[in-house]
Amino acid sequence: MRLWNAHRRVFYKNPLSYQNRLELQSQPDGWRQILTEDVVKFVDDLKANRLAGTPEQQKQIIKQLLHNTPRFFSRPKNVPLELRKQVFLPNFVVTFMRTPHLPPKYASFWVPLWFNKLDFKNYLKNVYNVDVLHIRSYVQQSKVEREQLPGSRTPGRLFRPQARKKMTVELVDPFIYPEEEKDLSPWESETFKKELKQNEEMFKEESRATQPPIDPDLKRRESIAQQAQEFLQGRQRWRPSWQSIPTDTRVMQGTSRSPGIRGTI
Amino acid sequence: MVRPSTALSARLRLTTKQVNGGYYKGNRTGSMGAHTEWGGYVIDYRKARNYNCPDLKDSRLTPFVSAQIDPRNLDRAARDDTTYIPGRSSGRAFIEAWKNDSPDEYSTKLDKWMLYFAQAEKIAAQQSIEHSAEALEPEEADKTMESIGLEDHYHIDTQGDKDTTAEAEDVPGESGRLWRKGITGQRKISSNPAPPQQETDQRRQPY
Repeated sequence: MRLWNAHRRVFYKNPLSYQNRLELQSQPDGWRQILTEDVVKFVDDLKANRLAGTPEQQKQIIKQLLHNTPRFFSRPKNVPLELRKQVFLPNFVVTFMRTPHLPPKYASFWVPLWFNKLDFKNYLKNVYNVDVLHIRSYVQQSKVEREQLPGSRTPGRLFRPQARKKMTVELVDPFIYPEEEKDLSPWESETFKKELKQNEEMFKEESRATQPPIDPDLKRRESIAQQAQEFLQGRQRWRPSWQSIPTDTRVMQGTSRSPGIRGTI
Repeated sequence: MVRPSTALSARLRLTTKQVNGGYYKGNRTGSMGAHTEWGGYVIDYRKARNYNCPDLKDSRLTPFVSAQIDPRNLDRAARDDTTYIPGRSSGRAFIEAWKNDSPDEYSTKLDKWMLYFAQAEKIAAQQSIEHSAEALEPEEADKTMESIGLEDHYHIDTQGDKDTTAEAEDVPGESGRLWRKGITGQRKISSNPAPPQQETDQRRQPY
């Protein structure tokens, strides 16, 4: 098999004539001159890591390489894990999704965008010792959104959030999902929810100061209604503000200065 | 509530799914093989990645580490620990630093010890003349420290001191420069409580 893309090709292009090649093959170390450097290095690495096997098996490997190099490297059993690209401390998150609508042999995950199917198969095998039959992958594009800066009247710029990659895996063995956590107190879910709510209210108040309100301010309405009721029922007596606000009272009585504007009074 | 519809036209960067022919944009998953002459694709398993997983049996570590953890704080915590052993520094540099930090103590206690240092320097200078090619081993240096009687003192007092942990090379006759080297050397930032000393090509001096 000859490979077309010279830039990325894995195969050698044989510059030797057929006769030359036959001669070289008959010699014990002639294959080193026929195969390219990276292939020779691969065989040397096999021997160095004691993965080449017996001399007969080594001969078999070289025979296969001479016959068809790309086919040899396209079989995963021919390339041991030690001679692939090694990754030791990756930094990513793989999320296992709860998809009860899928058959029991299927599991689906959110994976990093740069993952491919070979990556994920190796990852599941090495980390979780899970055998995989088949993988489907799908990149989900996100919709265009607009930036909303708090406190600005002008509309923000448009942008598209990053896409997400989903992989659905067909496993060798069926599985059962773990039970859902019902008690979320160890994760402080209540404080988290409270904070969320507070943040939302803060954001609303801020936006009310700058933008025309979308929702009516129900709290203010309620408080006005309550005050009106109290006045009507005689529970509160109306007084002018200089009497009801203590600082103002003191200023009007002449016992203290005005707190707001110094030197005027 | 009616939500405004999203904008349809915007000058945004193209995604992997836009544009029909002649345009390709990937997700940077990496090359795992090569294209064949007939439009196929052959995987080259030498290019595939292998994720190495350590032995996780009885491991207390969890897969998640907060990105907010500052390794320098870990280092500080290690310094407060009683089992912390600081990196080696020159004994003389340490005493010179002490002299500069608190001159009163130095005048009362350390004058005598500096004499010992001067003696030891003489011996070391003789040795270096005799074996000019060989550097003094760290163990030998320890022995000479013991003979002077400073070993315990050195180890106890350098525990609290951060700045003297930096390596300083003692050059006889250049005490001023030496002190500056010892003090202004950058702090080592490492999560390891006892960072191993770096092996350099420079010869190790006795003090």
